[in-house]
Amino acid sequence: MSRLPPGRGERIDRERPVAFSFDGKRVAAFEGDTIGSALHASGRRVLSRSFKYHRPRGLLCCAGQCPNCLVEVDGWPGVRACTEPVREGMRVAHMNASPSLRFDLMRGTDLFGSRLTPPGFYYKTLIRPRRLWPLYEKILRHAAGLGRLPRRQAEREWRTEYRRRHADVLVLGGGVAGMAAALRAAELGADVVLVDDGPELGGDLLAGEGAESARELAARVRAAGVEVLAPAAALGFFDGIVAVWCQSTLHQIRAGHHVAATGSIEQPLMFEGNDLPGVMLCSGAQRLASLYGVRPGKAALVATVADRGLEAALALHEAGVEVVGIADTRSSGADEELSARIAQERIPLLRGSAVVRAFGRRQVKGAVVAELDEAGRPIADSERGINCDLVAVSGGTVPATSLLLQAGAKARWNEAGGAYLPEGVPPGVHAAGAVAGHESRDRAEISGAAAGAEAALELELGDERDRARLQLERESLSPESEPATQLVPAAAGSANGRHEKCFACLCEDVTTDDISFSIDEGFDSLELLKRYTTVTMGPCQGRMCQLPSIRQMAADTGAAVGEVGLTTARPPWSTVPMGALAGRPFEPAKRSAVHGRHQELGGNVLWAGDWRRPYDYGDPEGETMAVHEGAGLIDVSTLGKLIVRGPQAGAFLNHLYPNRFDNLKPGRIRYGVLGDDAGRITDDGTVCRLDEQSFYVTTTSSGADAVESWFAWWLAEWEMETHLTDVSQGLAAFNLAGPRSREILSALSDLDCSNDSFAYLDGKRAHVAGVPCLLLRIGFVGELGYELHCPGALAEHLWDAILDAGEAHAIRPFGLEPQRVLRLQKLHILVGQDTDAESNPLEAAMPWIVKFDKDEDFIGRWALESVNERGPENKLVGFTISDGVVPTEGAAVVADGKPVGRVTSSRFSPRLKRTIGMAWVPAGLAEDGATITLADGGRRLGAEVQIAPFYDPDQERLRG
Amino acid sequence: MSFEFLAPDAAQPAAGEVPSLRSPIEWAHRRKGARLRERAGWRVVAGYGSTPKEVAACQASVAVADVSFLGKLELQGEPGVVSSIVAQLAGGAGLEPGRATFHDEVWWCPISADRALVLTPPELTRRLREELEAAAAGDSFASVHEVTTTFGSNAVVGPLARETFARATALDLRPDRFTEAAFAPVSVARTPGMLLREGGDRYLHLFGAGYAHYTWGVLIDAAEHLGGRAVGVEALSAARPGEVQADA
Repeated sequence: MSRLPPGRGERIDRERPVAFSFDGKRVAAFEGDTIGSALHASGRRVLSRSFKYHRPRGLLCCAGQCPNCLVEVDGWPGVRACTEPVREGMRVAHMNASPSLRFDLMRGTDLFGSRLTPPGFYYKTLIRPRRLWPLYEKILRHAAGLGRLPRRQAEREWRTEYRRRHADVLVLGGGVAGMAAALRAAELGADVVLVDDGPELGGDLLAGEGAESARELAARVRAAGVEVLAPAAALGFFDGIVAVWCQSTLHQIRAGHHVAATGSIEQPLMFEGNDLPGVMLCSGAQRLASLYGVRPGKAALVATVADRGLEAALALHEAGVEVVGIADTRSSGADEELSARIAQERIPLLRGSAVVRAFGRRQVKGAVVAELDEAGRPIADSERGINCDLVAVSGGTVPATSLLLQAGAKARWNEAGGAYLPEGVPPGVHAAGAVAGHESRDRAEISGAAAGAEAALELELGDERDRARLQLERESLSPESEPATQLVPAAAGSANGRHEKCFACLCEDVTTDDISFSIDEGFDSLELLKRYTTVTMGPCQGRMCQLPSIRQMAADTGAAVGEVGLTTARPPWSTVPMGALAGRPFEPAKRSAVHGRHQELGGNVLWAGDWRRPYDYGDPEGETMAVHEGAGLIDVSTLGKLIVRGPQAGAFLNHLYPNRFDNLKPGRIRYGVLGDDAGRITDDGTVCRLDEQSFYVTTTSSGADAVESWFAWWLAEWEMETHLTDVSQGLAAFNLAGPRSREILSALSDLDCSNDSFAYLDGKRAHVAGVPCLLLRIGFVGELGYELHCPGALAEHLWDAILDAGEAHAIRPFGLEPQRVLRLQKLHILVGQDTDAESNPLEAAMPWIVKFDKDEDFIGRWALESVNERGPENKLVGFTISDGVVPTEGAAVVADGKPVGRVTSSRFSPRLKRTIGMAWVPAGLAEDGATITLADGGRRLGAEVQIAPFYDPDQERLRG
Repeated sequence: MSFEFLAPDAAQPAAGEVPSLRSPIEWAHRRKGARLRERAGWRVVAGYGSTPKEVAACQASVAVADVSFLGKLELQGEPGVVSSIVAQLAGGAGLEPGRATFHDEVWWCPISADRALVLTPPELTRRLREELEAAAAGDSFASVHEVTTTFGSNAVVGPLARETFARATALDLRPDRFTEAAFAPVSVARTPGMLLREGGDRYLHLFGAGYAHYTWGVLIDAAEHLGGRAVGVEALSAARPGEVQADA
């Protein structure tokens, strides 16, 4: 074990042991540990294997920034060990290594095959034969990749959901600047949400002497009513919404103002073997020691370009780690006080030096340090080896600007600071802390408070005193101090020994040689280089590799770093499971008021538009015959139902429909087809006149909402004295059909149901089984029938009563499938099935419905007149096939080998004992007895055209 | 009346019994073990088992109750006519966009300047409908329609009610933004509807009755995930006696 003595700021509770397993072996930990800290404490340095070369990788950042410690936890791949807290009994396993983490066969790609696998090798070598690409792809994906998703559905199920949160101020980053911003905004009365990706607020302060004050500040933030989401990853700005992933919830936060206090990211250094386990960022080594009491190494060599490394060396020394030396690239310019303390502690400080190689087989055993010349290049004969098991590196810091850039800010290269800094921050967005150039604790806190105040004041919170205070804070922050001087050398390699890989991108295993190679191939702009090498496209999203690859590109092309530019900042800024993005599936479904009855009756319930409806009750043929021979009952509550009411209601409908409604008598029904401006059929249904000023309009089930919108739009346009009320979902509707339906209805109502009193296309109001109903005598299914419309609250009662009363008449409930057969026998069209976006009533066998002699203009009149003048080109007709073959709906009608039409509906009719259907055919073929040829897949079928309905063409049963 | 077939309270005795009025998803409540009781002709869910647990949900987390039995009437007319009728029947109150008016156990909710939705306890629905029809029968054209069964309605109650809606809607329900008596169109779980904040942490969600089962499922799922549950009207009454017009 490599635990340090207890420290003040540590996060672990040494009184509470926790045990978990790693690759099947028990690992002891403490509550508060992360998987990474516990494994490191147990002596494990290799936690994963790299993406392409399968090189051993260990802890690097200890902050969830890099890809080095991805493991599988309880079957979930891609978990960062350095930030995932330990839980008792959790099963942790390595990823991307086989047969074991220690011995990985695919390491051969690194040892022997790397010359054969430069960037883009698969574009060049695996392109022939083309048909084998799926195999190549499978092999490549198997060899590389970042873990494996569970195969079984049960193991993949994970409840995730969206949460919408509105806030006055959203603060991104829970370091000192973010906390100060949140606190000030909340104190001024703002509703504030604070998001931080760490398990604990405090940021960098937690790993240093400021841990205690950070925790005090965090307590004040919570006490002020700030909603804290942590650990939570802000994924990106999406048009005013910031998506934040916290555990199983994706928060969609819409805030009035945003404060970006996203801090800075410590950068790695480029030298050979810079990916060996034991090479860690200084901040990572510090976190390990101070937060988890884990000795990051026994002997540490610190390599740095700025004072940050000196601070880290002192911190490690104080924590009990032997610091064997500090290689500082700067010959001068280091902080004098820090330098003095280092001298006092007798830590060797090698000025003007850099690490050029780390060596060791599975982990660092030592490093080679060389002096640098004036241009920052290693001097070959100055190299010396230093034994150590930890190389703590600090390549300076870069502001974490990605979210700011996504919000609309620009990036400007700062030569002195060696980083791209944000500028031109858009209105409503504020930057604070290190991301805005305020690195020190005091300045970060002041800048945070000022940003919080600015946000609150712009929301018209606070008063003049707050404005004055803000003014003082702003003045104390200016003039902007220049970032501390740092000297970052180009990628360095040892002049002695064999050439080792130097990684620019740890996620994708892209080396500095790969970048040079790609540039030589012509990919000499950063965006092209990114796409070719995939540098910055891995889990770190450029945190560790963007600047190193830019520097390498600048060195190779001779351009200045500032000229190379940045790649576009795109969401997601942090890795996120697809399940979190998907959220809970919402699949809105409408159900009728008697849906429960359909289920009890064994209904085969399927989607029908946005409704769940029974297609049948297990015996569609029997249900069809029941309607012909006795009675059937179908739930048609899905129909659209509109009440059109007012002094101009009849005129309004006259304008909408091609046929006439103002002359419809109260109590009578007329069929109507709706069309658009081009005369094309959009919907159909019936219109019943209730009284002089009131009409009851039904529409198709799937067209209900569109028709309601169509009516409302034209009503607003024409400003007619008419009211429209949509009662589609309030009224249930049942179609009682069949030769015995009259008897059943008579048994349930006092209504005179005789043909004389209640004729075809009559509409009446009556109580049926005590239920107030509107009864429409219509016949979509071709038999004597009544559509009963009643309040949904009484639907179950009415449904039950009809089935009870019909029992003696062999009534059966029937579903959509029998209904389709029945209506097809009558050549009743289904809009959307038998019509398409080009169909008009003149060609769809309904010329009689268009009343060109109406006084009023109506929608589509001009277009229909044009069609009428030129004559129909195609017609919708019926057809029969005698040998029982049922063509596929959509099959082509062909003539002379060319498609000239299509089958829209086809079924075998159990009543007629033959195949029937509808098809669009050229007008010349639309004659009774004409023969048409159907091309259905590979077969040709002969069919005979029929213009009149197949069943009851004289309507004797319907009207009887 | 011409539109009797819209009115559930127009049911008449047949074969010795008056048909009971049922929620559009009574079948789902029955399967969940709901205890039903009669109220103004409706079979309403009294509870699902433990009333104390349901009361606790109302007070400590979130409770969802099917209150589709609330009467709903739609008034349409010229803005001046609608305002005049509302003022006449709602004690002189006007209709303010985005805010409902509560008067004599009735909520008057503005949908637009020329359309209002009136929410009533089921006992008052018929009387109010008749009063509205009488008021609308003046010289200016106005119409009244019974839409009780057009909309399903759920009461969502409790300190986590807002969080429950946050799982399914983007409407800003912060107390200072969606104040008491606020009334707004809303999309919940991708279905259109309307939301009324009756008071405190008590919301009434109205939606197309066809979506009743879907909406119920979404809200119950979200509520249960937050520690809440489905409740009946007994728990609603017991949790805050006398406060809610939906309670018996």
